[in-house]
Amino acid sequence: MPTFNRTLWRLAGKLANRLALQPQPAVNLDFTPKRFAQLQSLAERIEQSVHRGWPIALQHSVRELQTQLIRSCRHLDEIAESLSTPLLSVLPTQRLLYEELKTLSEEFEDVEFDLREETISVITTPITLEEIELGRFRVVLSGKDLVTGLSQVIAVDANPAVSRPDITHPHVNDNRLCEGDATVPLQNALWDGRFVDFFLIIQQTLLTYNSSSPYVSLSDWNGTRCRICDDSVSDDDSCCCDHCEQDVCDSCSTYCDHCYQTSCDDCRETCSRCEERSCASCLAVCPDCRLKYCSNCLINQLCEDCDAARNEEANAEEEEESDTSSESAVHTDRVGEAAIPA
Amino acid sequence: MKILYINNDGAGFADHIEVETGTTVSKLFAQRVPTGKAGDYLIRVNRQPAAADQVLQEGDRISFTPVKIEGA
Repeated sequence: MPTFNRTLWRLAGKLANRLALQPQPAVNLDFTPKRFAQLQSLAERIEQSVHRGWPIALQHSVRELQTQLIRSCRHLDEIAESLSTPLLSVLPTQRLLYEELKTLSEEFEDVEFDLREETISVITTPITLEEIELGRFRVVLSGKDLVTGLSQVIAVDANPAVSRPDITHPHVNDNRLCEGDATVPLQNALWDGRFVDFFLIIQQTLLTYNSSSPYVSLSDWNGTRCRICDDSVSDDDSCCCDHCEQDVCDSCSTYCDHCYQTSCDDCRETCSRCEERSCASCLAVCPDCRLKYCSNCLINQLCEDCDAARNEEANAEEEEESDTSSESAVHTDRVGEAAIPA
Repeated sequence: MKILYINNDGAGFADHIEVETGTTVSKLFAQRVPTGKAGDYLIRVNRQPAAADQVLQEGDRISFTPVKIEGA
């Protein structure tokens, strides 16, 4: 013979009283002739206009009838939609709620009831989403919140997002589940007093990841992913490269010694002379050798070697020119000044 | 015979429905969720996990709860 639990029975009674206070949905089933009388009147005017051959009046009445028909359709749509929710809730009995509370302990391993606070508390199975272990969650439903359907979802073995320590699940914020597709079934389960369904729906929602609207996406759960080394790091240990504007970790980025901007490893290049790494925009190409150099290693926009080579070339040219001019001073041609030996 | 049918997929209404005597859990599932797979749902009869070949009885309460429900 099943044992009777007096505490659960009393809690069921309190919760039944709470549910009895839920507001009934508003009913607006208006099919009165008055609402449709205008349509009939317009139809008669149209017939009359056709019969008498009044095209302008006909056009006006047809337009008016179209407008009224659209309004009436909207009104009928609203009625049809309102009928999709129960017009009168059948209040769950204390006995039904008692059975629900008893079954909760069979469905979930860890269930607690607090008669004074009128709370039901259930611990879910461990939640793992895309190989990220988020741990178990305690779901607390208070009798005071039965009508609103708000429950608290508290991480038991919290593994919050690295970037947001307050987010313990992609769809939980401030201990509230963002219910999404679960909203209506949760509300209906509560109004019917189906507590087992209510907690099961919450658990299944926690076990599902909706990548289109998480508070923190699972791909960023363990921090920002460095574009270069692919490690996940917290926001404090990452930065954005000023050149490629991608997130990188501190190890894969540094300040450029020349412009002091943050630069990731991929956006830095090595000076061909001093071998120091600078951001690409702080290096210039030597027009002669086509290699890249930092501003410290460029002289007159040339690298040191090419500058020296050009200087040598220039000196050689100068020397050649001066040799030529001294020779011409001895053997000046076609000027009538030939040297005469003594 | 009449049973209480709850589908927590979508609106999650509870309805009293008429089913043929001898209807099993799997048969009702195929009728009510023709495009679904039973493995994608938690199926309970009278709040207890049920086998596919369990025959439903007058006044039974059966619920289908999707395994995956997307939060927002």
